[in-house]
Parts: sequence; structure tokens; C-alpha cells
Amino acid sequence: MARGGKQQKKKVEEVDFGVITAEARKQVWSGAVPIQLHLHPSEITGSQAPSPFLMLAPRNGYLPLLEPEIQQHFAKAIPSNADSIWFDYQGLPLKWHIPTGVLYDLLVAEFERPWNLTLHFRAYPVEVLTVCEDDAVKWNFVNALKEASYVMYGNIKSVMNISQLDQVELWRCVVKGELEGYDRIAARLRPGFGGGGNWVREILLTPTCDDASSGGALLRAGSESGRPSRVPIRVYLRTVDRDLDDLFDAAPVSSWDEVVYTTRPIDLRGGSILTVRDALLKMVPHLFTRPESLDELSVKPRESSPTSKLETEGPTDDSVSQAISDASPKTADEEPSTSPIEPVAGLGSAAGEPDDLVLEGIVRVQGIELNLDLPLEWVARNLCGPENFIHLIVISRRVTLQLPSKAME
Amino acid sequence: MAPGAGDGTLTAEEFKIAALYLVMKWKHCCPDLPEWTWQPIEKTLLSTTPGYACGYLVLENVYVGSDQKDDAENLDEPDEEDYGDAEDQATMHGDSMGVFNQHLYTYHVVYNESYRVPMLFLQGRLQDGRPLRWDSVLRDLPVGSQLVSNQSRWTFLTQEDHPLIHRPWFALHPCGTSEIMRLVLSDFSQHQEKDSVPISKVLEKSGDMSGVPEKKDSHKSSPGRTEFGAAERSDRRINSEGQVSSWIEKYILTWMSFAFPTVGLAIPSYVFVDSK
Amino acid sequence: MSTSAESPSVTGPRKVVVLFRATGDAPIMKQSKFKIGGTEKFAKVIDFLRKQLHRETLFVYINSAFSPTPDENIWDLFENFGIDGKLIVNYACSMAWG
Repeated sequence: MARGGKQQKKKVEEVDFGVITAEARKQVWSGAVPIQLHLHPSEITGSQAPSPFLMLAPRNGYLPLLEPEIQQHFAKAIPSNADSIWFDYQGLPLKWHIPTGVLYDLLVAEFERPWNLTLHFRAYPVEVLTVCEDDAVKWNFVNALKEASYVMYGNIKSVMNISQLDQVELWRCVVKGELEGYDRIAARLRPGFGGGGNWVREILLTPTCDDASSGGALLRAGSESGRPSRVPIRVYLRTVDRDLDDLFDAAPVSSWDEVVYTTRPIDLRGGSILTVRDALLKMVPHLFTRPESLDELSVKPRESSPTSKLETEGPTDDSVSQAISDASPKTADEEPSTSPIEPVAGLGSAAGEPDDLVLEGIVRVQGIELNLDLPLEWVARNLCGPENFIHLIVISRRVTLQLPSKAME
Repeated sequence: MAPGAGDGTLTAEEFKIAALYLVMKWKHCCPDLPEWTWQPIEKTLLSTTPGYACGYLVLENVYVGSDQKDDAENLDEPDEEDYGDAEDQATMHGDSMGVFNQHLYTYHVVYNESYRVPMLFLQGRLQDGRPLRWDSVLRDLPVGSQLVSNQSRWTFLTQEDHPLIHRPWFALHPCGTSEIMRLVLSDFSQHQEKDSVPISKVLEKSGDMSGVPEKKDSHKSSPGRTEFGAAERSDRRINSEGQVSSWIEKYILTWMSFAFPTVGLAIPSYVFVDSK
Repeated sequence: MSTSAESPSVTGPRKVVVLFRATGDAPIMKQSKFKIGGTEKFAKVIDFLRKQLHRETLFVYINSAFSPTPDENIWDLFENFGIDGKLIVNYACSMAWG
């Protein structure tokens, strides 16, 4: 797939985001990852292994929530001394508190449908995975919601003020992957985010939650209509071999020590961070380099297989990709899918200018390879996970560590 | 809002200042107790980002005397008579007390980027190295904490994926911390001017100046970034001479005096005596 | 530093004046000044407050902004942290982790 060279960049402000916003939300929430579960050999009782089980896992959901369906299929195989259910992908135990779609985007470098996972009922790896009993999944979700709220508004009032009924309904929608019900309640948890029709105007007109006299990020009490002062982001960084031509050949992640992941809230006050790119320059400045030294990292676009019956349930990532790229500046060849490496702009600028620098890698959110010039707030509003966090997956070439301070000063 | 007290939160840079102060003070005041050490985050690809925490505090080898029966068959079953005695809880000795069943704990103080406060993580192990399960850790807590935990199962002490080590650890939930610290530190505003100390003095003593900008650079600041851009900063906790309020230095110690008793650790009061 | 602490006392253990200060939304007590024997432990102060305020969960801290452990000696606390001949003890309610 060709990388765009210099081209005419449509001004982002001219794009009407209203049209694609609702579409993106809907498709993100209906999006699911088809998985195929194979029972681990050590779990097989009796003479015959149960057949693998094909099912859809909602992207904005958590793997343990699939347990009821799984138990039905594998009923005969469940031992009496069963632990909590757990999954591994090519030997790597899957951390259940990370949304399913994020796990898929991170661990499957290239394309794999269905996603083949190994199922376990025993020998829960307590050294790697936190315990998953009772309501652990739900409370992990609620705590993450509170955290995101605190990042955005400096308090957790909006989460604490949800009625008991709404709490139950909110959780039910997460379990079932239902957007409408979820959005109705969750919208109250993130007021003030730009990203509707004319997002630039919205941002300029809506007051920021910025109490200059205290220096803190606190909202003035009661003024929940203010814009969030920080964006909640979880970033996951995976490096692949520098010499790799094709992500398809990337070695699978064999240990969580190979993935660097952390929470990196981005401060919106001051107005210097508007795009995804701005945020990445702040979070991972040493993954940016000058365009001359960049090799192309080729990625096949994620195609759906029209013959697979699994694809008929819910839209695929592909159509969201389409929606995003319709809104973004196109490459010179007018290809519909997004370019993994953003087009270089302003090659004539002075060396070391942030505009010059290009990310050595790709960024995925909700299965979409993101054009880095997209507004951060739009991504936060429409492509966030179930707990209002943006889960940014960065797949980068293995680079020698360049200290960012000199480049970025 | 009183200047100097802020909202009870701490920036990543202030966290480091407070952490290094603690290490120094602890060594000086509590030479017989296990040492707190500052552990820089390994140079992974996310660690060198300015504006985010670059290290955390570690306390190892704390023995918690336990009268729990830890033999294999009882590990998974709660033993009704064994409720930890509040006074018998964690004793910080450098070596084993010779008590038959001892649980070995390690404590981390990690900066929470979302809540902007320190967060306590703990991990307990048996003598043979096996990690303690939730109910065993619970029974090592003071009685009061066990009660609170039973009432607030998911919002007090929870098992988390450690943000730096990425293994299961137990953690004291941070979302109430800033409220407590805001209240407690609001008194400091009266003493702010008198108690300012130059940042470099704190770190000189500890011998670690990495990650902290020179005083000369303190006039530089980018909008929206939380770093030492004193002149432009609306936060008056660090003044234009690069001096830091002494409450910042003491922040982690102060917080510890509230947080640690919940897990049975005591902070001796003489750590808070100002050395003249 | 006064030397009176070292002179032998025939009248019994020295007493410390404790001044209680309500912070946050904690209720203010009718009487805020009390005397307590210097040899007592801080636990006594905490228990006293609990009984006075009819509350089990209290955040109690000394002016230098830390919370003493229950087995700290009152006289030591006064010597190290007393202000104007008093030990100021702040208390707050409705504080919780998580």
C-alpha cells in the first residue's frame, strides 16, 4: 500500500464531523471480534476434545463476560475444581481488565479472523493475572469510569451521581455491547467534550475547566458543563523488529514484559494539544523521527472476508475505517483506507520543528489505524473504550532510545 | 482556596522531590528500620517523558507476624479464630523475628497519573515465596481495616495490575487521597513563606538531581505542561526562585502517616521533626 | 527548651494541654481544651475524641500535618510539636479512602 507523499491537506476545520460521528460511535459499539476458542489440551477430559467454539466478543467488553455462553458449549469439559475461566493467545495469558478490542489490536499485529484463543478452566496464573471472582470485572469497570471522570473534571461526582437503576443498566449494556442504552447514561459522564458538528467552534466557545487561581485541574463546584481539562488515555506500546517489512511477520508477544502500557492523561489547558499527533509527541516523543530517516512500515488494511458468516453480525472495523478516512485528508492516490504513516507536511520547515517529525510506527484505536491529524477530542468522544478512556495502541519499530529533551525544547 | 495548599494533589516532579526527601529523612531518623529507596523507572520507551513520573519508592523485607495457619490445606480456607491483633501487626525489623509463620511484605509508593497523588501498593508472600491470596492479605490487616474492607469490597483495598511491574499487587484505592491531603495541608498556607526551601538543597542531600530542571531554566514553560515554569505557572507552589514549599517535601510522609496505619504500618513521629 | 522537664516532680506526671480543632465538616465540641497526663499514649486522645463525637472513624492529626500512631507518648509529641504550650490536635470526619 503506497504511502502518501506530499499532498494537499484538506483543512481539518472544513470537515463536517457531525456526519461521521454518530456513525463511528454506532459502529465502534457494534464492532465485535470474532474469536475461536480451543480448550487447552490439559483440560480435556474423556476421549474426545470438544469442538472449538466460534463466537463474537464485543470490542468494548471484557473476555470473562463471555463465560455464560462459553460454559454452555463446554459444559462437559468443566471440571469440578474449576478456577476462574481464563484465556491465552499463543501462550500469553490475557489480562481480563483490558477491553477485548484493545487486546486484539495490540496482540494481533496483522490480521487474524477468527482470533484463535486457548481456553482454560484451571491453573489460573495468579502471578500474571489479577483474580477474577465475583463482581471483579464490573468493579474494575466502575473504578476505571471514576478514574476517567477524575482525569476529565477533577472529581468523580458524575459517576457517583448515577442512580442505582442506571448503574445496573449501564453495566448490562457493557455486557451485551449495546450502544444506545450505554450512550444514554454514559453521555452524562463526559459532558463538554467537543467532537460534534463543528468541533473547533465548540472548543473555542465552551469554557474550560481551568481554575487559574488554584493551579489545580479542579472544576468549580457544580459547573459540570465546562470542558474537560484533561483527556484520559491508556497507551500501549509494542515494538517490532526494525528490519521488519511486513507486520504480518512480527513475532507474537510472549510476555507482558514486552509491552509497555500505562496511563497518560493529556492536559488540554493551554490549547497546545489539539490532534492525536500533538498528544503522541507529548507521550512518546522519542518515537518520532525526521522523515529522511524513515523506512516504510507496510501494513495490509484489515479486510473483512465477505464469505465468512461471522461478518454478517454487526459492521466490521472496515466501515469505521472508511468513515474516518472519508473525513481525513486523502492520499494522493485517493485510496480509501487510511495511511498508516501520516503524510509529511512542511518539508521546507527548519529542522527539528515538531511539524517535521514523523512517527515511526502506526497508531490503532478501536481497530482503526489512525490518521494522526485527527482532533484528539473527537477521538476521545467517539472512539473511547467503555470506561471513557482512549486506548491508544502504538506499534513501533524497535528504535534506539533518543532522549527527547533536545529535540522537543 | 489557600495558596500553597492547592487541591491536595501533586505533580510528577513534586512527587520526586517529596520521595527523595523521604528517603533522606528516613535514613537519617530511622536507621534501624528497613530503608526506603527511590527506584527509577527502567529506561523503557515510556519512561523518559517529561511531565510524567520517573520513579517510585520501595520498601522491602517487612515481616508481618502472622498467627494464620499457612499449611497447604488451610491456605484457601479462612480460619475463623485468626483475626489479626491490631498491635501485633507489621513490625519493621531487618531480619526475621523467629516467629513461626511470617508473611513477607514489599511496599511501593507509586505516582498515580490520573489522580495525581501517591498510591500505596503492597505484596505479601509466604516464606517459600508464594504470593498471598486476597483473604490472607486481608487477615494481615488491622481489624479496623478488615471491617472497612468488608463494607467497601471494591473501593478500599483492591487487587490491581501494578502499573509499572504489570503483576498483580494489592493497592489502597487513591480516589479519596486528594481530599484528605487538601484538608490536612490547608493549614500550611500560613507558614508557607517561612518554610520555603530551595529545591536543590533537598536533592543535593540525596545526591540525585536527575529529572529536575536547573533553577536557571525555571522561567521556561510551555503552555499546558506541568513542569517548573515558575513564572508562568498559575500554581504558586513553586516560586520564582525555584523554591519549593516545605509541605511539598513532606507530602508523601504526611500522606503515609494516614495511609500506612490502614495496612498496619506505623510511621514514627520523629520523622516529622524539623532538623534545624 | 525548658529545663523544667528534667527537674524531679513530686506532684505526679506532667500534664499536657491539648487543644482540639475541628476541620472540614467535623462538629465543634463545646469544650476544646483538655489536659492529659504526659505519660499517656495518643490512643487515649483518639478514644476520647471518638466518645465525645460518637464516631468510630476519625482522622486525627497534629498541626505539623501528620497522624501520630496510637502508641506515641503524649509528652514526646508535645515536646516535639507543641505550639505555645499546647498540643494542637485536629480532627476530621467523613474522610474515606476510595
